[in-house]
Amino acid sequence: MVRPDDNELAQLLNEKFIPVRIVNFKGVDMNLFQFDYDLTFAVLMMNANGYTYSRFGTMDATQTTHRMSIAGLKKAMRGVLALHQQEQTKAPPTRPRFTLDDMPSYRRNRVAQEECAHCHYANNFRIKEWRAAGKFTKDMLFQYPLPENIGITLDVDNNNVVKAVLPHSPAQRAGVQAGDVIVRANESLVFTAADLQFVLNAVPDEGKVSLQVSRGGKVQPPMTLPLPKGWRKTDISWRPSQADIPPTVGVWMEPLDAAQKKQRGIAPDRMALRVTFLFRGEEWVKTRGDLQMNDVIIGINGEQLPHMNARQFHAHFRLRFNVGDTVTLNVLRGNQRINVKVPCLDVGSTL
Amino acid sequence: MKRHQFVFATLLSCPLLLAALWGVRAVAHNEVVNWRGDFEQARAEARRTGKPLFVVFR
Repeated sequence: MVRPDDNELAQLLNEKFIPVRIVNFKGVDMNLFQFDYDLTFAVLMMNANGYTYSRFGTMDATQTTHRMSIAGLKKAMRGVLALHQQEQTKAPPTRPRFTLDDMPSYRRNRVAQEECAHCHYANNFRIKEWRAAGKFTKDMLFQYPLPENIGITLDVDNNNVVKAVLPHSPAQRAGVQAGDVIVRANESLVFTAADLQFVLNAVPDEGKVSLQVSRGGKVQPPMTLPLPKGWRKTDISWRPSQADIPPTVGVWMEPLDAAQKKQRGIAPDRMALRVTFLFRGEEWVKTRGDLQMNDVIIGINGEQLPHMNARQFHAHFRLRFNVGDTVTLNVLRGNQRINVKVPCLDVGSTL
Repeated sequence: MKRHQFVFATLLSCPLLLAALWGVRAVAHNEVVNWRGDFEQARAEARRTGKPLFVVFR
């Protein structure tokens, strides 16, 4: 993640920090390292007591890196260095170690025998534990809500600076303005988008969050943002942790491009997904009914849907339907419009 | 995780690819970051030197 020609970043890392790279999640204490485990890249800046000053790293369904920049990272590091001067003795609350091995569903799984564990296993297996205990609801998949979920777009190079406030959003109603610097969310200091997301992650549906901003160099009184039911919902199709939740239709697809859609009389903003791969294994055959290679899925239960890719289709399907349902996929096979009924099954996990 | 997702995630976890994604050039003569691989040792070093830890998970 370090740009090799950015000496300033390399010097910050080598001279001002102790840089640590963890590439194997086995044995990692999840009570010490709390972050969005679905990320492929995450940074925690902390003191020797394990107190986390700031987190860096955020993703969404559109691109992998457009919410991060080297400038933003360096700015966050400088902020942490200033704070470290005052808070290097601060300690996090004492909590027992909690690793992947503390989860029976992980210990029983074949991946436990592998040498290396991915960070997202933390989410995959926590979800398995919740499901086994009957405590899981699909709302739990909406982790680490984005700043946009409360109506804020942050400046990628300036981390906690508000670039835009979305109209009619909780942030706008509370009085947040473009140019504001978010300095605190609830009780926590905010240096980065990931810091704000960490606070938001603990806020329930129909909850509220308090934001304190600096405006024109002056810290303002805290603002309370009431957050309505459903505020956490967002496109989670990029998250590995949701890919294990049934039901799934056992096919992979590619979206048609605009020319291909036009040729078939489909509006450019509508979903059209051509089946390009049939999942292998007997258990998957039943999940796709009569769906065949090159079929184009253009709707679900008679409803046309907006343009989406295969990951988004699968996320939509598993959030909308439950095991036991029967769903009608509206399909183009050649020039024919047909309906394919698929049962919603739990075929077990890919992990 | 499906095979292509796994490949994508694996590629993204490569530091050099991330650097490339962020639109940067590799220059051989530049400073190399001295990454530590053992957190507890790094923690002891942080305590000894008074520096904060920068922990990256890939």
